[in-house]
Amino acid sequence: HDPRGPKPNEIVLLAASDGKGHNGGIDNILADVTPNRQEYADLHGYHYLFINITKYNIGNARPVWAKLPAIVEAFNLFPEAKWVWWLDLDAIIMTPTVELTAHILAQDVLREKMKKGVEMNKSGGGRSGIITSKNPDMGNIDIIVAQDQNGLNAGSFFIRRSEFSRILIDMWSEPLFIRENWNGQEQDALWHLVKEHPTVLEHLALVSQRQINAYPVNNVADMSWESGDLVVHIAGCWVKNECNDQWKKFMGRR
Amino acid sequence: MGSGSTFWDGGGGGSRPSSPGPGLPISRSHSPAHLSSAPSVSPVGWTPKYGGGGSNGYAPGARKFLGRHLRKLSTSLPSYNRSPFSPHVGWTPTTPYYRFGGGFFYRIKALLFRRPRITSFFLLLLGLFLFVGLYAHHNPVSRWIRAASGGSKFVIILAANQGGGVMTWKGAKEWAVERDSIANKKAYADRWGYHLEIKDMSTKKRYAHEWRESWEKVDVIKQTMRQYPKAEWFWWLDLHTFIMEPSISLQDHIFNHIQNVTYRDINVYNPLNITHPPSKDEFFYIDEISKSSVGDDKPDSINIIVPQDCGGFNLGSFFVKRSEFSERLLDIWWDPVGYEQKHMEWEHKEQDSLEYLYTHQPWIRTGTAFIPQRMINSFPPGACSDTPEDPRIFYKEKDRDFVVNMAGCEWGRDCWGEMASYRAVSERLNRGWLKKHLW
Repeated sequence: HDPRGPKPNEIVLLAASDGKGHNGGIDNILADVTPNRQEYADLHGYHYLFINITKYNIGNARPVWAKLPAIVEAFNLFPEAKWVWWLDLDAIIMTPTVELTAHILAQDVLREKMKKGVEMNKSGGGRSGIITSKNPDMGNIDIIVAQDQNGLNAGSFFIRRSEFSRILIDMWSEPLFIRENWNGQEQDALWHLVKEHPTVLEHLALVSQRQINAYPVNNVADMSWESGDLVVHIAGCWVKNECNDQWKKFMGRR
Repeated sequence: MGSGSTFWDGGGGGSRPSSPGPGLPISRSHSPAHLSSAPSVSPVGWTPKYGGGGSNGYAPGARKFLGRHLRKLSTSLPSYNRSPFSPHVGWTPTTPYYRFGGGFFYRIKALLFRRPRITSFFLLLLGLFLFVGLYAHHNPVSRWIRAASGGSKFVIILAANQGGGVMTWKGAKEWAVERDSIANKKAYADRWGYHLEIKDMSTKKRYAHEWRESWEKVDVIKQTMRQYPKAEWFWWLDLHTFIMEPSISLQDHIFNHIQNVTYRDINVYNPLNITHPPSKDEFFYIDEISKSSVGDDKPDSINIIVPQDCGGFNLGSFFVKRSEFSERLLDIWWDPVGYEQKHMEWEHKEQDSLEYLYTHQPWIRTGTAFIPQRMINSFPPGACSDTPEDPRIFYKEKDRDFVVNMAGCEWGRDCWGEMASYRAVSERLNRGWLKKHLW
């Protein structure tokens, strides 16, 4: 693992859906997302991959679980890929000039930006008692993710090709987790792994949301998208049914 | 000056007969030059490393050592011929005579190394002593040597005090069984220089029902790995086991030829009928190594060696290697969700959990190897009683199976009786040479 980070052609941007559009009612989401991502990838030399998850047979698991086979397929389709950035469909890349390796993937940059010795939020909110490592071994970091007040957010995360992440995918897609039917499904499964198994925590880097997963809120430290931040993720917009509005607003602001 | 302690002091001892030597003025100094000035005392053809003497019985050290008998001895010894080429005056040996500090060592050397027959006898005796002391006999020194030469890489973890008398009374028989089992493992570990950890498996409050009752095996192994940071292989043994053939070391039995005695493809013997290699339908995202039925087929990737009995994996006797793989396995093995959903179903607890993990998480197969049951986990006739004719399961005296695991003896059988009988068999089979042939 090169500490300087991956070359552009070793990064894959991944998005997937079942083609049925967005649950929160954003009109024509794919028509906006595809050029947004493709242009960003072309600008820097990354790969952009969209997968229609209906091709996976995931039994009666909720569709979000298809994220996992999608990630594996991304790794398989691009054998030279070192990092895969999973980004939910309801997210817009606002500042395409940001270059991923220099921004977050190079080990020294990541070491600066990751939150060390910080307590993670429990799924659903609250303190968990799980503290991230104060002195992490950067060679071990295989997954980069951000957390909001409700814990880890699996809407935007980076995963590296490594022996450990290979095992992580196996552990993450444990049938018992699917059966558990958590509210947050695969997101809660990931949190469960981090919480219960120190070997997983060792390989995880927690970063501020503004780095990879900013929200369309105002004036919340570490969370609010501000001009210059890479991406905004219109998460939770269905709560107040403002998805479409927020989407249009941010698309316009780019 | 001398207090008579130097071997030059030929004429010093008053009551001794005077020197049969050439009547030279014997110097009391250590300088060899004086001695060399005596022409008759430099036998040639013989490197005078240890000092003069020999040709006419003039062996200064020998004199003091043998006293009166010197003359008789020395005259019966072969004498060296002087040759015209022997160095004369001015000759100085390159090595001082008193190289070994004089008296004692010189005399030993004189006795042993200049007389070939005694030398070889002495060497033979030494060799025999070393062989017996370090190899054939078992004592702290031999154990230390065996530990240092590889034995310390093995740790035997013995689960003792099962239940701790909390749920059921622990009577005299239970104590006896425990004592025998511990003694057996201790003797084996001592013999081969392995470490032995006896772990208390009593029912603890924090393992009370609904919170991983009896799942301590995994925790115990993790803890033991921390305790022995340099050890490589950890052998878990349940209490009701007996090592029948203590003369076989683990290295000889398994680890020196691990590829030959273990197998990776569970289809060789698959009592659980696990689909192997993992099917593409269930796991379309598996890599080449997971797809292969023998993993990467390299001995280095074997991280856990598990025997199988008639019903599936048997964790009464198995090996775990210290490695990243096993660190992850031991971490994931106990999972609250798994426990919560399955513990009522999983009668054999960690065993069932491992079977489950093996079936559902392909990465585990890449580090797992199986070993024929009778290599480390032979059953008594009472266990696996549904298939009494199966040759792969039960202890065979004729084949001198290594370990017996009296699995399930506490459910309706007689643990003490079985343990005593197997101990008797083991003792009979491993009688010393004397006992075997004399009575």
